[in-house]
Amino acid sequence: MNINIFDLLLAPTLIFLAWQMLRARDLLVSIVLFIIFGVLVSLAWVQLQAPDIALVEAVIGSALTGALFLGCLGHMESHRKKIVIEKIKISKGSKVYDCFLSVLVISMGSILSWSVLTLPKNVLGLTDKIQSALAKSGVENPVTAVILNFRGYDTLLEMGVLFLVVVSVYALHAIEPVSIKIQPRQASRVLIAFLHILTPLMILVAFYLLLVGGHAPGGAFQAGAMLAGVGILMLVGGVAFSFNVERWVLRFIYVIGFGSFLLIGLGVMGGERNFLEYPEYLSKKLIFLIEFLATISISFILVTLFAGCSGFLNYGKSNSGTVRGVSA
Amino acid sequence: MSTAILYSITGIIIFTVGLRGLVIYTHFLRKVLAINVMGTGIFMFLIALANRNSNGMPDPIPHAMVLTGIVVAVSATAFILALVVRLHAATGHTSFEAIHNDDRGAKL
Repeated sequence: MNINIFDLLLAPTLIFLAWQMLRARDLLVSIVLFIIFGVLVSLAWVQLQAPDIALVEAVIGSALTGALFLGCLGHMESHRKKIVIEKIKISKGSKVYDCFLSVLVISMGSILSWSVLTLPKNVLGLTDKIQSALAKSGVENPVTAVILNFRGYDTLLEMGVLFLVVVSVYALHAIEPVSIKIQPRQASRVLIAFLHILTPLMILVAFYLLLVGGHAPGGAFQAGAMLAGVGILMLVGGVAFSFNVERWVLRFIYVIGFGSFLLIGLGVMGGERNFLEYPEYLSKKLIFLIEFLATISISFILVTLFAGCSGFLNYGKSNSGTVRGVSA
Repeated sequence: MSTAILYSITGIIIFTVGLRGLVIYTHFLRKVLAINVMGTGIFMFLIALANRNSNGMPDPIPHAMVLTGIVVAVSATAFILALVVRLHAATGHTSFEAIHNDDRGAKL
């Protein structure tokens, strides 16, 4: 495939944005540039015929990660009582050190680029094998087939990572998974009105992404991240929705994505079949069940991760008025 | 030159920009941003190379790997940021250098 003018403009823009993002004087500018960078990278994914990744990048890589950074920055600055613009500092600040490092990094990049340019041409990878096995997988989207059927292990462990991180975040704050409390805050009326319009729409889009994942770009992670977006907007907007569910319910939701995947993987074993090797006639239904439960788990875990970074996590049963801020 | 080559080299350059940033800048958030930039560079490299199939169909295996990678990256980022918030709450500093200098000051 030949490159067009769009690619030629996009590629240097991405490099420029990455450079500017890291050296911007104000961290807020850095984070905003990071979000813009993410959106433009998802355009690059479209150019590279990877619409599934474009969706994940736009929703998770750019928007959600950006929200995590913004929440963290806001939380740290609210602690300090006043906003201080961090001057960019250079480690062990000598110019010689910087030059030496630049030379090292540039030579590494050159070697890597040279290895790309000397790769053998006309290889086929595994595309044909996957196309021929697609009929057996129970879904029509090759990426979904790889994720949930051919390479189910990866996705199982990925759910495991998410679960582990949410446990770690709770452990780090030395609190029990009790609840995430919404503080009634002074959110702008524009944001609240916007939320009223956006919330049902985002939930609808999330379920569309989940359902469409079987035969077109979409799937559990995109849908889960979209739902998490609703939760984060509500947290930020201070909308009084009750997230104060019972402790065991919240624990159950965190674990159900990973747990159900594991149980289904074990359940299909027996006879000739290995772990995670679904019987052909059931694979479509099982994949949908796994994706549905994973979506719910993912969305709650991602909202909790955001809450953990930005001081929204509630401290056990403490009744003290303010729960924002992490005490040492 | 094809799209695959263009974007794989772009990915390599983005990775090196991130690597330099990770070493040079001291603020925790800037370091975490740099790690994310490095990750994006690697993802772009993988997806670009998945696209150089001679039959025009991209290879779905790297796509699935990158999809997993993005989610794992956001999980790791969330964990690091929670650590950063905790460290900031405990010490009041936003870089290892500042914490180190503070320690030295306290001992003297």
